Amino acid sequence: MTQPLPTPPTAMVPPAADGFALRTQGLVKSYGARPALQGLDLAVPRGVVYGFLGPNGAGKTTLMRLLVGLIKPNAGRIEILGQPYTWRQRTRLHQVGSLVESPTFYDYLSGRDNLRVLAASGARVPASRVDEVLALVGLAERGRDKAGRYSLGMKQRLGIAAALLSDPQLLLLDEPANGLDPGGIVAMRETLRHLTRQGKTVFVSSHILPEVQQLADVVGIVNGGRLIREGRLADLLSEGGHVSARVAEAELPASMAALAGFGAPIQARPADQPGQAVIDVRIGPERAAEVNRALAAAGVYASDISSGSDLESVFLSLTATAPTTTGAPGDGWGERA
Amino acid sequence: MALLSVALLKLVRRPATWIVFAILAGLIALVFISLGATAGSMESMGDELQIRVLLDFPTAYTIVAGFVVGFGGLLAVAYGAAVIGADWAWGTIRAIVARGESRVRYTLVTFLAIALIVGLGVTFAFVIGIGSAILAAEMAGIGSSGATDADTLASLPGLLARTWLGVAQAAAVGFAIAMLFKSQLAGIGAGLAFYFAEQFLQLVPALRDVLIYFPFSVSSAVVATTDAFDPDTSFGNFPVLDADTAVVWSIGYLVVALAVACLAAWRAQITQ
Repeated sequence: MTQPLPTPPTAMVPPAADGFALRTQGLVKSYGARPALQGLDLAVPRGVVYGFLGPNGAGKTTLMRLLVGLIKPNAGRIEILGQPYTWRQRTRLHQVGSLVESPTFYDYLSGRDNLRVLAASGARVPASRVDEVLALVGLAERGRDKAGRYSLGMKQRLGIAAALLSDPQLLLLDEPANGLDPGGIVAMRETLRHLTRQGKTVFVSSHILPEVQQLADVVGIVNGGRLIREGRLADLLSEGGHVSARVAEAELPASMAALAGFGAPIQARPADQPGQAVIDVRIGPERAAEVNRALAAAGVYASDISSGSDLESVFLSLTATAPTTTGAPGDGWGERA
Repeated sequence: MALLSVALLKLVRRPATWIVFAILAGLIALVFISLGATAGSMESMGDELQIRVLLDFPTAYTIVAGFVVGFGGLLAVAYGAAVIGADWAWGTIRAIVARGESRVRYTLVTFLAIALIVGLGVTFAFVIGIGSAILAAEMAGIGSSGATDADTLASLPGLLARTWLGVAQAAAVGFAIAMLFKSQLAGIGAGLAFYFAEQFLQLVPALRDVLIYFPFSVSSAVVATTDAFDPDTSFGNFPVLDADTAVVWSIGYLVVALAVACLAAWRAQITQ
């Protein structure tokens, strides 16, 4: 595995001048008979925040584990910072910082000592770096407290500090906003932005779509172990969108029939008010007037029409995991491939 | 050195380390104080004689070492399994491997730290055991003048080193089992089950000649140099390896256990 990877056919992101920070080609991983990744092709340009999105069980955590050598792929290739990488080439990870799944620490050690433990493994880190990263994530004052006494958010911050220990060129973060309070999320966002301004690359795996929308430059969406879309966030948002109309429940069949002509995915869900329903049409927000006109032509008068374009709409339309039409408790958790 | 330093830090700060030390020293002190308190009140002359032999210095040094290996080996199996098993149970091994650390190096350094802590615990228990034995000998009216025998004192470092080896070998077995199972609970459970199975199988006379080569029998035999009982290298009614042969076997088991642990770490798919 000495040849550089060819450009993945699904990549829609032009490479940065100095190439890719991370690439995978045909990455396959199964747990027994259950496939987790089925030929994943990914291209992460250098110097960006890359949002890696997917529903539960899509293969996000499996990819993270593969990238840091926790598990071995069944097939496929990985390139990190322009160099081929296999799970035995562990020293390649010295330039990578990671927070994979939930952060784990020795509860009986202080936050500072936990970082010392990590700093002694892998890439050598100057002793002063421990205090630097503690200060960076706002834990300087609590660094001597036992990690077992930390809140979930503090543990998350300590996990991010651990990922930053070796001043990595590539940062892999799994749900970094998990447990953080609003102030912590803003601070994390600023920190990650600061890192990309230094030319570093941040790869964020998440299903918190609004957070990724605020953070990412480039987005990859995975479903069923395959990359189904990759591109610049701005491009994806310009393509995605929705128009929602609130109608009387009794007029739902007529409304659905009237809107079927748009040829776009349509879903209905109960509205807040009794006897009302909301119909979501996956079309661009500029077509709201057309929806209004189509409903009126069918003799249906919407009490409210709204439109928008967000990552959630794009994600839902691509992964087909929209909420159900019944709104019953427990609905909406299953995947609708 | 940095990795060893933090591995020691983890063990020294870990409450379980001090709890194990306290249990070991407490058990040994309890045994000897009980012996001292009951000597003189035994109905059977044979029992009385046995107790007096146990508390008679300088032989008592070897008896203390035997108790340290016996109780210490049992605790060490669980301790070795608990330390490496915790890395799997808590998921901390994930962060270490993800930093690009060598799995084999981490495994070996972690065991080295365990062995050093075991050495500290063995020394501590040995000192407590000797103190308790002297106290018990005085309580029993045997006296402890033999404790200062020059030749015996000169041989104590060697006896302590063999005791350490026996307990460290037991820890290595627990360590390897936990690494194989990638589980703290399974490691402790399987390690202790192995330990007790070996002890119970001693009750089957036909197996005794084979069992002397089993790991925990070997670890006990490294200090079984006493001639207090049967002179033909048997300990009570149970045959044991002679100490020098046992040392060779013990080192062999330790090396094999570490090789198994390293191989398991090297191959492991970390999904915890």
